[in-house]
Amino acid sequence: MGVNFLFSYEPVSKALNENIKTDFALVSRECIQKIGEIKSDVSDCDLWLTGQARDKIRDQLNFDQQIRFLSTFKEENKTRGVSGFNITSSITESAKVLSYMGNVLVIVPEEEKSFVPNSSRIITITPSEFLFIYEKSRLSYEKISNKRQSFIEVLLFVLIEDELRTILLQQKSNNNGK
Amino acid sequence: MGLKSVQMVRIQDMTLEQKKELGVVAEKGLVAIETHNSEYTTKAVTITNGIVNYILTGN
Repeated sequence: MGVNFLFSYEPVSKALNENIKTDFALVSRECIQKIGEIKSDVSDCDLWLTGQARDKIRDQLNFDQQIRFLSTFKEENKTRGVSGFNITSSITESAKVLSYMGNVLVIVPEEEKSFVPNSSRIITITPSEFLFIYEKSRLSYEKISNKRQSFIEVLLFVLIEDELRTILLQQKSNNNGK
Repeated sequence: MGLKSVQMVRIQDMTLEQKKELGVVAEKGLVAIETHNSEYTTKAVTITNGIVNYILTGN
């Protein structure tokens, strides 16, 4: 069983636009970089976009960038060509399809979190939340002297466990408020 | 001429022979194997600055 990362349009589009310097764009870029590092550690791990989002982001890139982009992000195409689905609503169906293959982390902006409900296989999270939990998990992982689990297993444990994730995100929220 | 295709692979999944052929020296990480359509040459780019930088700059 693999681990899959499904991105909505906004984080990837903003991360790949060098002219956008907002916090969201910078955090999204860092989030994708970290997930790339995870991909290099985990044999069965892929980065996905819905067909609609992948097409639209491809169009913002030059030819060489397009080739590299298309080789990095796979297309989940369940709703391609299906009327009634747009670039935002299609992600719900794509997350469901990918969840048959294993755990899915859905990376979305805050305002899209409600579109993809969490389940035992699906965790919906913002780029900023992902980075916070990634760093916390990494620090904990480094403290373990006799490692029997891989980092991705520790990270997934933290992300999947509702109570643990909620506590950490509350801590993040409190830190931001200071 | 532009790129024709790119395959993203883990260095850990490559054989010693493949790494030697493509000049990959790193032990782990991601490599983009780029095949150019100009003269059907293959080049391996070890991704050291992250995948976003690779998509945008090719490095």
